[in-house]
Parts: sequence; C-alpha cells; structure tokens
Amino acid sequence: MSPSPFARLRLARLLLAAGTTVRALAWGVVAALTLLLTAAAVDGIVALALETRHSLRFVSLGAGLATFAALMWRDRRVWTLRRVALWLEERDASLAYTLVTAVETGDDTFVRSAQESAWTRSARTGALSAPIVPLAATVVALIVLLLLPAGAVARIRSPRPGDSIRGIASRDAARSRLSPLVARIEPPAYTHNQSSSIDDPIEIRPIAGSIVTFTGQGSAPGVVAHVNAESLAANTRDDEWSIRLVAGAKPIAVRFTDRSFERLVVINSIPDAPPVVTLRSPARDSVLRTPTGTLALSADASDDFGLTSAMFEYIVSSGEGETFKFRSGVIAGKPITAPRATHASITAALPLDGLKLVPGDIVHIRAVARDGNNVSGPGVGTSETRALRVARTGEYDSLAVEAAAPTEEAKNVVSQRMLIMLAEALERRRPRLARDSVVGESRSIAADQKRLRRTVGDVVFMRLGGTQSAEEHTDEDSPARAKTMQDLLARADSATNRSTDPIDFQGGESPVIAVNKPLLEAYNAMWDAGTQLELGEPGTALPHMRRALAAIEKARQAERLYLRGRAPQVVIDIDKARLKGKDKGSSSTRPGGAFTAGDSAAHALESRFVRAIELTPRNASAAIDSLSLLRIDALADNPSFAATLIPAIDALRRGRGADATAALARARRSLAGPSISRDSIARWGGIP
Amino acid sequence: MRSLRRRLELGCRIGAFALLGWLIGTSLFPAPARLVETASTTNLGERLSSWTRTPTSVALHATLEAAPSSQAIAWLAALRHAGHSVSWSGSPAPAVVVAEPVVDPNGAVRVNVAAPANSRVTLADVAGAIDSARVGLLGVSFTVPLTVDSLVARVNQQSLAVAKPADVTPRAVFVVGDAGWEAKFVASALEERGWKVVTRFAVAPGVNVRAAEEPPLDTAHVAAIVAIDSSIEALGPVVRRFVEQGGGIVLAGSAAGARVVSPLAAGSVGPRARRNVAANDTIGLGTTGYFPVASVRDDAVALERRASGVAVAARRIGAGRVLQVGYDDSWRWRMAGGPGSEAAHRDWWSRVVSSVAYAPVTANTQSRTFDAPVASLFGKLGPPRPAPVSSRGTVDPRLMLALILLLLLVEWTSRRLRGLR
Amino acid sequence: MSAEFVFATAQYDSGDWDSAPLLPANIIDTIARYTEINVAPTGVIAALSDARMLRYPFLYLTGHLPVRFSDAERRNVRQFVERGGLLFIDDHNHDIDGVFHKTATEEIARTVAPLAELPNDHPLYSSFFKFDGPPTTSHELNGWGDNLVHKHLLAVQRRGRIAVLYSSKDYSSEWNYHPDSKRFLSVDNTRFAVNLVVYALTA
Repeated sequence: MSPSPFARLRLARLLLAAGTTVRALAWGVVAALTLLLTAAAVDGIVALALETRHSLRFVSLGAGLATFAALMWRDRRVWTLRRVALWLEERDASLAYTLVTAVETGDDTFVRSAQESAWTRSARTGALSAPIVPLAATVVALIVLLLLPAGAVARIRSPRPGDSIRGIASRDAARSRLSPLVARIEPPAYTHNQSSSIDDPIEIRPIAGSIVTFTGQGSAPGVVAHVNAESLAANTRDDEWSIRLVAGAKPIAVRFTDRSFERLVVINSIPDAPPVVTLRSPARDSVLRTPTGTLALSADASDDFGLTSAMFEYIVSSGEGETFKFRSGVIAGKPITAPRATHASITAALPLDGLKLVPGDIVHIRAVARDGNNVSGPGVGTSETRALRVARTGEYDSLAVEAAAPTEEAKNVVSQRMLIMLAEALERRRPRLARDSVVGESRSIAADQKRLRRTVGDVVFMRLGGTQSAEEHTDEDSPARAKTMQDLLARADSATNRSTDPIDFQGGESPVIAVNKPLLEAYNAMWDAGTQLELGEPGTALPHMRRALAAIEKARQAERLYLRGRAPQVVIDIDKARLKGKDKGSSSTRPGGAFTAGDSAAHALESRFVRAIELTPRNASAAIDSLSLLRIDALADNPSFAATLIPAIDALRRGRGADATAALARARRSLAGPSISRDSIARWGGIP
Repeated sequence: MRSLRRRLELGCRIGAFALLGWLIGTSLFPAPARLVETASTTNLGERLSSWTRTPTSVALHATLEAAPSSQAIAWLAALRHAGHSVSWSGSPAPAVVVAEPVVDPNGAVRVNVAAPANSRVTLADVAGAIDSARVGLLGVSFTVPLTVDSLVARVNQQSLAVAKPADVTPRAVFVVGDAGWEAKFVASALEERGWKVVTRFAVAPGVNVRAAEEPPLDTAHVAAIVAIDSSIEALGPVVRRFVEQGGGIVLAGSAAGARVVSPLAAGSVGPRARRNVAANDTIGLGTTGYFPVASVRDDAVALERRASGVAVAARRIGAGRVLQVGYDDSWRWRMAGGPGSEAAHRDWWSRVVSSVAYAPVTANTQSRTFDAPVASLFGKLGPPRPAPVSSRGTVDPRLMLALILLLLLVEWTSRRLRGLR
Repeated sequence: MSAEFVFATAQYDSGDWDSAPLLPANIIDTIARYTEINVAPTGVIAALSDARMLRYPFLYLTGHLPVRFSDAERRNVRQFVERGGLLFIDDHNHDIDGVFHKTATEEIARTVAPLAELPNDHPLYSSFFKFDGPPTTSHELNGWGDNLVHKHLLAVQRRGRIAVLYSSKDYSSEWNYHPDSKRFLSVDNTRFAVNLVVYALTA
C-alpha cells in the first residue's frame, strides 16, 4: 500500500529540513573560518596579542554559531507542513493548491496520487541543492587555510605564550630581528616549577638560577645581548636566533642590539629565601633541678619552594670559670619526603639522661631547616635558641635570678674552711685520743688538703706554663714525682715573690704570675700544712692552713669578684689616674673620604633621574630606557625608590602623560625626600 | 490743507538737502573715532596677538584680577611703545618668588614666595607638582631637595616662574672638639650627607686625631667651622678673621663660652638645662638637655625657643654668620632616637651648617631666579586706570542715506498723489 | 667638655656575658691614664634585648659559651650598627674551633654581614699608640683554646668605619684584672684598648 499523501508530505518536509540544516551548518562553518582566516591574515601583518588571539577563537566560534542559528531561525518554517506544501505548490502548478487545501483541511482526498511522486523528487532536489554554495565556500576556505603558513594558523587556532615568533616570518631583511621576542624561563629543578614563556617581555622576574632563553625571528649573526660588560652572541636554529643566560641573584638589564635596533629587557630575579623556623617547644629558657627525663622538642618550618630537611641541634657546655668543655649533636626529626613540602612540623625527644648532664651544665637547643636550593645554597633557616641550665647544688634556681656558679676559689674557700674546722676539732680532741687515732685522722685531713692543693695547683700552673700540674699523673710517693713536685715548688718559690717589691718582668714572662701570687702562696701554705698533717700534728698545721685560707680569699678579691653572680662595682678614681700613664700617645690621621661613598651613590641616582626626566619630552623611548636602567641600579641601594619608578615607566609606555607626571613626582619624593614647606619665610636659612 | 501738504513737501525737500550737505561735510572733515578693546585675565593671552594687528587708534585695556605672566606684561609694554594706548585696571594680589641655591652637597633649592596672608601657594616644576602651603604671615618657604628645570609658583591665579639656580658646591667643614661622641657623630653625619669634613679632635695634651691635610682657615678652603666645645680656643684669633670674611661658624654646646669666640656668639652660655630622661623615653633633639643661649644680643635673632630658654640663636658678623646651638649631645638622638632618627640627625646638622656656610656669589646664581609680576606691571605700565570710554565721530552714513531717501520718497509720493509729476 | 664615654658590657641571653667582670674598670683606668677623654668612672651593663643599649655607642661582648641572639637582640644589634655604633667582640676561649667563635661569627654574619680580616695597617692600629697589628696576648699560646697566635682581627665595616670588631686573641683574659695590678707590669698590656676607644670616638 503506498504511503498517504500526508506521509509523503512529511518525508518531503524531512528532506527539506535536512537540507536547510546542512546549509545553515555550512554557512556557520564558513563564517567561523572566514573570521579565523581574516585574523590570521591580520596577525601576519600586525602581530596580535595573545589575549586577542584567545578571544578571536571564541569570537569565531560564536560567529559560526550565530550564523547557524540565524539561518535556522530564518528557515524555521520548513518544519511546518503548510509551508512545505506551499513550496511544493510553487514547483508544481498542476497541484492547483490542492495540497495546501488538503493540509489545511486535513483531508488528503484533495490530492491525486499521481502527483505525489513528484514531491519527493522536488524535495530531494531542494535539499541537495541548498548547501551547495556554502559547502563550496567551505572548501575554498579550507584551501586558503591550507595555503597559509602552519605557524600563522596555529597562532590563531591554539594561541599560547611564546608563539609570537611563530607567525608569518617577514622577508624584509631590514626589519628588526628583536621584535617579536620571546623569553622562555626554565626555573631551577629543585623548585619543581614549570617552564613558562613570555611574549615581548619588558621585565621578567625569574627565580634566581633560572635559565632564560631569548628567541627571535631571523638569523643569529649580528644579534648580541649586552649584560653589564659582557656580550653574548646569538645562536641560530631553524630560522630563529636565541641567546641563553642564567638569572643571577642581582637584577640586570639586558640590552639587545641588532644593527641599529636596540631593545632593553630587565631581569629582576626573585631570590630564594631561606626557610623560616620557629621553635615551639621548649617555649622558653629554663633551669632544671635534675637533668632526667625526656625533653619534648617541636618546631615549625616553612619555605617558599620546598624543604629538604629539618632537625634539632644542641650544644652542651660543661664547666665554669675559665674551663669549659663542649659537646654538640643533632636530633633528626621525621624526614621530609614530599617534593614540594613548603611547610613542615618536626617533633623529637631529647633524652636528658643520655646527655650525662651534671649540675652547672647548659644545653642550647635550636631547630634548623634546609631547603633544596642547589644553585646558591642550600638555604639554612634557624630558630631562636633556648638555653636550659642544670641547677647547681644548693643554688637558688629561680628563673628570675641569673646566679652564677661558685668559682673555683669560692669552692676552695669553703673546702679550706672545712679542713680548718676539722683540724681544730681534732686538735681539741687530741688529749682524749690515742696517738694512732690522731695520726690516722690527721692523715685523712692531709689527704683532703692534698686534693685541695692539687686543685689550686692545677689553676696556678695552667697559667704559668700551660701544662697541668704533674701531680695528677704520677704516683704520689715516687721519687720522680717528688722531684717533679720539688721542681714545681722551686718554680713556684722563684715565681712567688714573698717580698713586697714588685716583680720586674723581663720581656716574655707572663704577667699573669703577679695576679696569681696569692694562689701560689696558698699552694705553698697548703703544702706546709699537708706536711704537718701527715706527721700527725694538726696543731702545727693550723697556722699554715689559715694562711692558705687568707691567700685564697685574696685571690678571689683579685680575680673574679663573683659572689653568687653579682659583679662588684669597681669605681675608678679618674682624677687620680688622669694622665698617670708612663707612655704617651701620638697624633694620628683620621681616615676620611670613604665615608661619603653612600651619599655619592644617592647623588648619582638623583643626577640620572633628573637627566631622564629632562629627556622625556624629547625622546620618550630613550627616557623609558634610562628610567628602566636607573631602576635596576637602584634596586640594591634604594628599593623603595626603584618601586616608585615602575608606575612611571608603565605610564610613559602607555602614553599617559598625566599619570607619568604624578608617578615621577612620587619617585622624586622617594629619592630625594620630600620638600620642606613653611608657612612663613625663614628668617635664617633653613633653621629650624 | 493744501498749504500744509505743500509745507510738508517743502520740509522733506529741505531736510533731505540738509542731511546731504551734512554727509558731504562730515566726509570732507571727519571727526575722530574713539574705539577701545578690552581683555580680562583669562583671555589676555589670546587677545594679545590680535591686539598686535589692531590700529594704534584703538585703545587697549586689560582688566586684571591676577598679574599676567612676564611675557604678557612685556608684550603690553611693547604695544605701548609701538604707539598704542595701553592701560590696565584691577587689583591683582602682589606676589614675589625668589629661588636661591641651598649651600648643600646635594644641591637643594630654597624658594621663598611673598604673597598676601592666607593665599594658597603651589610649587611645581617640569617633573610635576612639588608642594603647596598656605601663607601664614608674609609668605611661604619651600626647600626642595631635587628640582628639574624651571620652577613655577602659583599664587591664587597667578603663575610666577623662575629658573632653577645653579648648584653651589660647598667647601670643607672644619669640625673641632674634644674626642667624644658628639664630635664623632657630628662629623659622621655631615660626611654621610656629602659634606667634605676636616676634623681636629683633641685626645690628650699634644695629641690630636686630625685630617690628613688641614686646610688653611679661610673661605677659599673652608665654608664653615663647627665647634663642638671650648677646644676651639686652640684655633686662636684666625676664627674671627674667618667669620668676618664670610665664613660661618656653629658654636655647639658650651663652645660659645670660649674666649676666642664669645665676642662673636649670639649670646652667652647659660647653665645647662637638663631634663631627666626616663628609662622608656624616646630621645629626640634636646631631650637630654642643652646649654641655653643667655642674654641674646640685640643684633642676634632667636631661632628656637624651648621651655628653659633659647636653644638656637644666630648673628651676623661682617660678611659671615654665627649660629649658637645649645645642644651638646645630639648624638643620643641619632643613636637612641625613634625610627628615622639617624636620617633626621643627619639632615638637621646639614641644615645647621648650610645656614652658615660660605657660598661664593656668582652671576649664575642670580639670573632669572626671581619673579615679581605685579611690581613689573606697575613698573612697565604704570598704576591702574579706569577703562577708557569708547566713542564714534559720526553717525553711521548709511543711516543718513536711508533717511534722505525716505524724505525724498515722502515728498515725491505726496506730489504724485496730488497729480503732479 | 664633652659627654662622658661610658664603657658598656653587652649582656646577651645565651651565654656567660659576664666572664670578664674586671675588664671594664681596667679599661676605664687605662683611658684615664693616657688620655683626657671624659670617661665615666664605672662601666654599665647593656642588655642587647633592650633598645636602651643604643645609648652606648661602644659595646664590649665576650664569653665562653655559645652566642645565639634572640630576635630582639638581633634587631637591636642591627640598628646599633646601622646608626654608627661599634661592637667589640672577644672570644674568651680564643678557640676558632670552639662554640663561641663558631656561633658568634655565625650570628654576626646573619645579623650584620660576614666578618673579614682587618689589614694590620688599618688606622685602628695607629689611632693613639702605634702597633704593627693586633697585640699578642699571653693567653694565645697557653695550651688552651686553639693555641694559635691570630695575626689579624676580623671586622665588619660600614661606610668605611669599623662597625663590628672581632678578636680571637682573648683580650678578655689579658685585661681582666684589677687596675691596681698594673703596677706589676713593665709594659701596660691594656694600651691597645686606648686605640680601640679613641678609634670609636673619632672615626
């Protein structure tokens, strides 16, 4: 059974709709391609900015869609049967409006079946012929597209930074090869940053240590980059020249020259800052009563690019007076494994028992972190240091009181006094004791006296000849030792002046001996006391012991005046001492000239600034270059002034005269300081 | 009726002939015309070029509420010289601007502007606006560290222009005193500021720390002496000669009490005013006391007063200047002052020395460095006068011709209506 | 007469800053003996963490223990140097392998600038008495410390002037005695201190 007229009509409608849709689509494509091709052609003449090319893609797409939509809207009636019927009626007069009538009435008996076959043919023909023209136009556009240089199309089709040199290369040999210019920045590997490209740079801010490659169109010979006093020639590759350099720590201006053309690019490196470390625990200095337990350590570290390690360092200082010993160590925290860890918290525990601390020891603790800078570093950041002190026995261990440790002499005083008390007690009990007991106890006191004498001897003889007392290292009763002791005594005797005459030193003798005269006296007195005590005569030993005590007291007065950490006030009688010195000085020359270096540099900057401003009305481009170079030179010494030049340079480049004037006025104030204004005429120069 | 009509016709005829005769007469013997062209402050600049092409019979009058520029005044004077009648009226506010170089290693410029009280004065140069101030009494003063090309001061609606004066390169400053912090830091501050400093510091009897080459004490080599204390006595009477020749001397602390300089000082040295400084005080200039200038001389001027007396006073001796500064420990301000105290100390001492330093006067420092437009206006064009009244010698001849034709037409029409030819 | 020169000892938190308590009095005595400099009869202690340390443009710092500046101490020392003060540091251990030297030089490098050798013809050595270089002390070869004679002092200079002077020669031990003991000496071993102070007051 053949399809009804309405069915055939619907088929015709479908065919016509397909045709119009294809036509609209084709015209949309043509519109988009035309825009793209026009943009590529324009870009070949005048290099379009990256943002413009980005937006052109969307504009082209939008234009294509708009064209498609507009045509579909215009031909929307193809979807109505009545319109299709009218269209068929226009092509077949024999229908005599029966088809339209049938559509309007819904009665297909109006239509003779002999006519139906012609509809489909007409509709097919119409559908096929509709898109012919736009498809032909599309083909033409595609041909043109293929004829254009790949680079030119790519710049429009997929614009990206650094493609400014990929446009249509100019065949004009006289043209400057410095424009367009692309800078490719490859940061140091440890930063884990991506490489980037900048088209037509004026200033670039790479990380210090980055490799910067400048590329332009054309051959290399004749293209040179001048950096300070150095000149770098370009290399050629694929009809492009390139120059490579490494961004140092200091800002530089790179001046490119190509015959009579010049171009300036500023490289203002970003330095890699060292890590910032904060010690959280221990939170403050403290004094420990007993050095046991475990000390919890924690710290935070941060870095701009990435940390590689963080740890705690400690130094243990043991000793007092002039004698100290030091031990140091490292406590590692949890290792930092993440490649770009810019923050880290480290914790550790410091077992105090393991440090074998004794009263008086001081432990200094700090946290240290390192970054991955393998160009100029690594950068090391350290925290504040905490000091933990182990309290001495009997010491007032308050955080508010910085009590100094008792000195050697102070300890000796205490010990000598105790020995005297023991000897006096023995002497009092002597009538009631057996001789053996007296001798035994007396020798016991003698042994203590000997130990004390050795301590004093260690101090005295270190200062004399730098060698420790031989007593410690040889057997007590050996003749060699005795000989050594006798020698020592002889030295001590000869060095100790028991008269009141001042010692007259020849050149080379240490004047320290004079200071330790009391200690030498104490040493000798102890020696005499020890001899008597060994013989079991405490009563005879007592005067020597008291003499030793007095000598030690005198030594404390002469050397360290510490009494529980407070230094005594020694007030000099200035009038009495005035000009009593034996020697006379001589006049000298005060160095000068170098002291003005700093201000000369500022003055030089001012002169250059003035010259650059004077250049502005005559040659804005030269003024911009002068200000750019001035900014580079000012970055180190006057960064605030350098910062004020940026808006001025920018305004001059954009041709905004009023903005440039205001910015230059601010720069002037920053450089030379503000003017001083008064609401009256100064009577006397600039005072007040 | 008929006679009345005839009389009317006769009257028209006579009137027409009379007017014709008057026309002929005035064309043979014309009365002088008197035209006046005027301009105001706002459009004077534009009118000057057209006035130049105006015949000298036209009087030119400017109504000025603000003094015009020097060029405009000179142009008006030239027009008068060329034969024009030029006059002006109005009450422009008088103002004068003077620019002089500051004796400073960095080459600053001082601009003094005299203007009526409460006027707003703005200063600018080629590089843009510099500063502005309102006149308190007689004028305002600007000290500008860095100027580019010429300077323009705007007072109300007037613009006063001056050339940038040439920099003056100062000579050395001689700092003399006992070795101490004040001497050291005064010398340091001046050196850091760019001054060439020569020192003589006494350390012990016969022992000094001095410059490698001590220049002769005259204005060809030394611009100023800074005496930190009474050790200036050692220089002797050459000090007075130096000052009288034009050199400057700063007497700091108790230096004014030294015999060799006390006759030059602005006053005597009073007992030291000492302020108790609390532990947490921020130290500024004078915080820790000073030697007041007592018995200020009649020809001296007190420049700075404090609660305990005059701290700074100045005096002229011959061609030179003497500044007595009571502060003897400004170094505390530099070292222990608030933020910026180091720079402030440096600048202050530089200003002190600048105010007395000898500077040779050259022609370059005086040319085109002042502008007084109102005075110039009076000088070139005389005092203000009322605007002249414009007048014409004859009635417009076209009007006369029209009247003649009207009278003849009336007469002819009346005769025709009577049937006559 | 100028304001007094006050000998100030720097107090810092991390170590034994007061290890040479007699040195100030000794130096004050020396200044009075050879010069007419107006000097205060007693010294003062200036805490580096307190901004009032800026009131003393000459500071003496010594010790045996590690030197680790707190943030406040570092800030004040930096400002002190920038404003023209002179910080004299002496290693009481006279040991360039020791913790005082290592930590103090690290702190100075971090706070101000790295130390560099001072030439022996620097004006410091001729500012009052004439020396061919830094005078040797009796402690340099006493078997303690590094047992070396250090031929140079180290310094950081600012605008052509010494801002930080560093010694490994143990002047702290050399000069740490009561001035009355000078009568025993044929040659006053504190004369170099005069050069130091004169340089500080005149350069």
